[in-house]
Amino acid sequence: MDFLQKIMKPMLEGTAVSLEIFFLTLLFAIPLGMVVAFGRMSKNRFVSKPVRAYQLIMRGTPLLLQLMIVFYAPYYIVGRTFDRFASAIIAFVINYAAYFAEIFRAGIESIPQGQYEAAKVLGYSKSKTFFRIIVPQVVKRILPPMGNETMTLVKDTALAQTIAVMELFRVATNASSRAFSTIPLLVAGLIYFILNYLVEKCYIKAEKKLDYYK
Amino acid sequence: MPVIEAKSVYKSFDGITVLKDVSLNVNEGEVVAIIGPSGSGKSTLLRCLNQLINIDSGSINVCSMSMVNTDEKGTCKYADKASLHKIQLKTGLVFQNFHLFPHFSVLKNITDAPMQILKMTKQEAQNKAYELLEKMNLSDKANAYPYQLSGGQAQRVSIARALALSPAVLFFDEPTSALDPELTVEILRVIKNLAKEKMTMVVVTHEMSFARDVADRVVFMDNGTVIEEGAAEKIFTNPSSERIKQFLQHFSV
Ligand SMILES: Nc1ncnc2c1ncn2[C@@H]1O[C@H](COP(=O)(O)OP(=O)(O)O)[C@@H](O)[C@H]1O
Ligand SMILES: [Mg+2]
Repeated sequence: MDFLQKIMKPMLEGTAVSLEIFFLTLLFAIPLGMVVAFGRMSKNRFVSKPVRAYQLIMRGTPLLLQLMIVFYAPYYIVGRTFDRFASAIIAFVINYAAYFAEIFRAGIESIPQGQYEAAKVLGYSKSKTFFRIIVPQVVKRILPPMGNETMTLVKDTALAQTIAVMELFRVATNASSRAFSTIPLLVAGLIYFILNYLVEKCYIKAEKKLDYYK
Repeated sequence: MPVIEAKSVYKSFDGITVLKDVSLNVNEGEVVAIIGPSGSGKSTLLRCLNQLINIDSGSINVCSMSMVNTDEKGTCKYADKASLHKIQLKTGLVFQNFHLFPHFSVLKNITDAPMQILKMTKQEAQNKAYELLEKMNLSDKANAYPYQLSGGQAQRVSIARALALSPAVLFFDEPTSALDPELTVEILRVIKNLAKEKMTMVVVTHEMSFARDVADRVVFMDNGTVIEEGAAEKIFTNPSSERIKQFLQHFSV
């Protein structure tokens, strides 16, 4: 019991760091993902091709490696490294934006052309059509894949330890090796599980709320 | 007074000419039926008249406002954005597949555009919507969602939605083609009642007896051109072109 009490404080601090990574990533990756989605859907191939290349790199290489590159590359270019936490956020945001963009794109493209046509004929402007007619339907459709991605993000925050960010899993590993005990790791596992349980609950609630139409 | 004046309209897709020198005039209070085999350009014509696609050349006036014009040099020019929007509100279009907004209730489907676009108050828009719903025999469905409606009900809601903006002319693109025969009848009855109220309408249809009954004028299109047009009675009983005779043989009118 004593041991548990001793490790709890650093573990909770680590959890706070993990949550910061989680929320900041969502905060920036969602809007960036929308921009990326539009870039990808652009009719101008000088926009859509580079955007697709960026997405391919983000989705085709390990996030672990991307974290390292974002953190260490500045050392080789400008001779110094920058804040570890900020580097982690940048890496997470550009990685997750690429995935979110695909979800947004699939959502937007799944809305039948007839919705746009009906809105146009009724005199809706392009922006009114998008925000009043298209977006609400897209939100409903993308909730399940977004839920998936969000739960993955909770677990992926553990990767920030590769550049020595003191997030939950790093703290747990340290405590574990210091005390020759697997208990801190199991506690960390339990915390991730609880966080994802809450994430899932939020998504279920949102889906229920949009259940009133098909 | 002419509501629609379309002159020498040309439209092609990827080098294939779909509308060739099509002209169409519709006067106030008139009901015009457009008939013709599938692929003859009927939908394309309606979509041009409703600004869903741009024509290549020709001219279109709606309620004496110029939507698009082609000068002697052959340059096709559309009006400015504000005018096009004004013209857009003069024309309504009812689709074969309704295209209701699934996330809006029936009532909201009908009130949203009047409130958002015409800046009607909620009260005004709802009064009008309830009036239209009653006319469509759907008063009890105001709070339903589109997925809860039968095809016939959904189509009547989409007609109410279009009428809520008080267009000068209402276009129908095969409004009954997605419906079972018994539901077809209820839509045709609605259109007939609108005709009695002197609503100006252009109806693309394969319902020949309906066209004959309700339309003042019938336009027969084939292969991107208007082959013949005239009083319904004349087209159905004594068409001058061999092509219409052939076409009408497929229907028992
Ligand atoms: N967006 C489009 N792109 C390419 N071809 C089209 C498009 N819309 C219609 N067409 C072609 O134009 C012709 C006329 O189509 P349409 O106007 O739908 O005929 P109808 O409504 O009389 O059946 C058809 O050959 C169709 O394939
Ligand atoms: Mg058609």
